[in-house]
Amino acid sequence: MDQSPDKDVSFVQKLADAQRGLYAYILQLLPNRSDADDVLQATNLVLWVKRSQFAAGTDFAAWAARIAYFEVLTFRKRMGRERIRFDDALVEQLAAEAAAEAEQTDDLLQMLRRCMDKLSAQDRDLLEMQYSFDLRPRQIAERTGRSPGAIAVAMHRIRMSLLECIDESDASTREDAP
Amino acid sequence: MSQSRLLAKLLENEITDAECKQLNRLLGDDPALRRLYRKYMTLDAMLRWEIAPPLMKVSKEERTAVDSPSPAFLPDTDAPIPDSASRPIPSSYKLPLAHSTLGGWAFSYAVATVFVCLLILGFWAYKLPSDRGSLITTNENSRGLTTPGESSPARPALVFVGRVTGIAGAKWSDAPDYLPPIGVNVRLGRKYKLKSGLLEITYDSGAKVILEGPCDYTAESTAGGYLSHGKLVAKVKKNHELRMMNDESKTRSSDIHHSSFITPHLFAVRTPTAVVTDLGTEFGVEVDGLGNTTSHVFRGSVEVQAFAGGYRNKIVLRAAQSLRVEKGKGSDEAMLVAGVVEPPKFTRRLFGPPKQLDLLDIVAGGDGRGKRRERGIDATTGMEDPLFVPMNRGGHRDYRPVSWHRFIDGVFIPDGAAGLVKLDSAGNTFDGFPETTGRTFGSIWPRATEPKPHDSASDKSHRLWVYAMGRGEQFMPEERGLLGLHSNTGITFDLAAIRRTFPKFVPGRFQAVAGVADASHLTDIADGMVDFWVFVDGRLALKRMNVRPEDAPFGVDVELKSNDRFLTLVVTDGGNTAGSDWAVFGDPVLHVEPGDANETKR
Repeated sequence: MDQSPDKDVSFVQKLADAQRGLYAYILQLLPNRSDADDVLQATNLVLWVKRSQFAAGTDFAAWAARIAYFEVLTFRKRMGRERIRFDDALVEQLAAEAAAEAEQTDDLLQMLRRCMDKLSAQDRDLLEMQYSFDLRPRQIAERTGRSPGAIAVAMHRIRMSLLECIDESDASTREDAP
Repeated sequence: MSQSRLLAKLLENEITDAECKQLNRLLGDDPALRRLYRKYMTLDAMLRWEIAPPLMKVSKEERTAVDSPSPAFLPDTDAPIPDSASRPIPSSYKLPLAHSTLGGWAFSYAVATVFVCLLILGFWAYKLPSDRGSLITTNENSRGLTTPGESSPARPALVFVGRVTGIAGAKWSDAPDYLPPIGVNVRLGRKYKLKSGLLEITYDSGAKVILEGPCDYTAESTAGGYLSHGKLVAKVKKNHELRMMNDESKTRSSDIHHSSFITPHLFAVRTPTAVVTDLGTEFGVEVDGLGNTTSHVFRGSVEVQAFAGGYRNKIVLRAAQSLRVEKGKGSDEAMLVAGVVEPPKFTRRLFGPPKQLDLLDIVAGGDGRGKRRERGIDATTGMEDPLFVPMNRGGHRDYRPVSWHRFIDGVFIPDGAAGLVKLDSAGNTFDGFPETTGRTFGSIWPRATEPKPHDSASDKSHRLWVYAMGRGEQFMPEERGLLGLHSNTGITFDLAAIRRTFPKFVPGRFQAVAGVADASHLTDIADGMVDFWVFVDGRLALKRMNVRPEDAPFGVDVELKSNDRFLTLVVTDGGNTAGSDWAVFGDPVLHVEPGDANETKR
C-alpha cells in the first residue's frame, strides 16, 4: 500500500471534511447514536486502510458513503435481531436516498448555526445538556425540575423549529441565487 | 401520536416494538415522511457534531474547560494543546449552560477536527507543556501506582495479587541481577522479566495480563502493574468490569474529579510515559527501548494519560484505536501521537498448538484458528467483499495480490486463452488451463454450515448460489462450512506466512471435500461442469476434470512439505461456459504437523 505523504495529507483533509456528512448518513441508516459512532469509526478505519484505492478526482463522499453502507450492513449482521430497528428493504431505500445528500452538510451547518442563534437561552441550554453531556430526557428533567415528558416534548419542539428555520433559510437562499 | 413524535422516540431510544413496526411501515410507504426522517436524523447528527463531536469523547473535566471563552482556531500542526484543556479542574461538576456559544462551538469544532486527524490518521503530534508539576496531587487509593516512570515504593512482603496461569515458550532474562520467580503465585512487587515467549498472569480481581518477551513487568498493585519495556495485553473479565464500574460510579457520585493519575479500582498499566487505565476492555500496551508507549484497544475503551512533568492529559481510546505517547526532548516532556500508527502485533491469547487451520476462517479474514465465515473476496480485485456480491465479474486476468491478509497471497481469473497464468507472487505459472470465459460470478465465499435465509421464491434467487444450493451437507461431513468458488476463480494461500506466524507448527496436508452443487431445482438450463485444480508452488498436485453435480463429492488430500510456500486452488468452467458452475470445497483445512509442541497452556 504505497502512498506518498502528499497523497496521505490530501486524503486526511478529504476524510476530515467528510466526517459530518458521513456521520449523518450512518445515523439515518442506523438510528442509534452509539451504534452510529461505532460504525463511523469502523468506516474511518476501512477508508484509511483502503485509501490507496480511492481515485483522485472522483467523488470522495460517494465512495465513503458506499463503504459506510457496507459497514452498516456488517454491523446489522452482528447486532441481535431485537436491536434492529429497520428492515433490510427500508435501509436500502434510505441508503439510496441519503447517499445523494451526504456531501451537502456545509451549507446546512451554516444555516443551522444561524438558526441556533435564534433559539432562546433556555432552549440552547437544553440542547447543550442533551448533546454535549449525552443526558437523556429523564436526566435533564432531574436537573431542571421538569418532567421527563415535558423535556422530550421540548426537545422535539426545538428540533422541529430548527428544521423549519433551516427550510426557510434554504428557500430564501435559493430565491437570492442568480 | 404524531408521526414526527415517533421519530423523536426512535432517536431517544424510547420507541416500543409496536411503534417501531408502525414507523417501518410508514417510512416505507410515505416518501414525505421519509424525507422528514432523513432531515430529522441529519439535524441530530449536525447538532451532535456541532455541540459535541462524536469522536471527541472528552472527559467531563475537559468539557467544563470549554466553558470559558476560548479563541476560535483552526488546527495547526504545530499548535500546542490549548491551555484551557489543561487548567486545574474545578472541584465540583457543573453544567456549562451555553451562553456566547460561538466561541465554544468553534473550539469544539476545531478540537474535533484535530481529534479526528489525531485519532484516526495520526499525522500531527502535540507537544505537551512540561511545567505542570503543580497539578499533581496524591491519592492514597491508587494502591501503589504513582506516576509514570517513578519507581515503586517498598512493598510489604508476601502479599499475593494473582497467579501465573499460562506459559508458552517463556525464557527468563539472564541479566545477572535478575532472579526468576519460583512458583505460580504472583507476589506484590514481583518483577517478570522475559527474554522471549509468553506468560499469562491472572489477578485475583479476574483481570488477565499476557506478557510477551522481551519485556519487564512488575506486579505493583492488586489492579495493575508497571511495564518498563516490552509488550502486554490486558483483559478484564466482565464481572470484574461490572464490579469496578459500580465502584467507579460510587466514587464519581462523591467526587467526580480524581486528582491523581490512577483512577481508583480500575485496572491500569503504568509505563515510563503514560498510564493506561481500563474502562472495561481488552487492550495492548507496548513500551519501546526509549520508554515510548503505544496503546491499542481491541474491545471497549481505555483512558490514556500522558505524563509530562506531572501534567495530566487524557484521551479515551475506543476499539481499534491506537495512541502513542513519546518521550520529548526534555526529561519531563511527552508527546502524544495518535492514529492508526500501525499498532504493534500483540498476542491476545495463549493457545495450545493448533492441530489444523480452517481455510474458511482465513478467507473470512481470520488466522485459521477461529470460525469466521460470511465475508469473502472479490476474485477480480483481491478486495474484501463484506457481503456476497451476486454479479458477474471479469474484465482482466491479472494476478491480484491480497495485501490486506497475510495468509492469502492473491487471487485471479484463470483463462488458458491468455497464455501462461500466474499462480502466486513468486512468479510460478501454469500453461495447462483450458480457454475459459475469463469471468466468474459472485465472491470467493466462505459460507457457514447453515445457509443464510434468502428469498427462495424470487426468480433471481439462484444468483445467491452459495445459499440457493441448499445446505450442501454432502460436501461437509465435519459441518465446518463451504468455500464457494464459482468458476473461473483461483486463490492462493501463503503457507510460508502461516509458518512464520505459527513457527512451531508446519502445515502438513490440505484436506477438503470438493464437488459441484446442483442448480437444477432452480433452473431448467442448469449445466454445471467444473474442472478442479490444486497447485503447490506452481506444481500441479490435483486435477479433476469435468466434474458435474451428479458426480459424488470427492476427497482432496494434498501433502505439503515444510518448505512449500504456496497452495493454490483453482476452478475452471469445463469448457461449457460457467453457467451453474457452483463449485465448493467443503470443510477445507490445513492439517498442521506439530513441531516442538511441549509448550502449551497450563
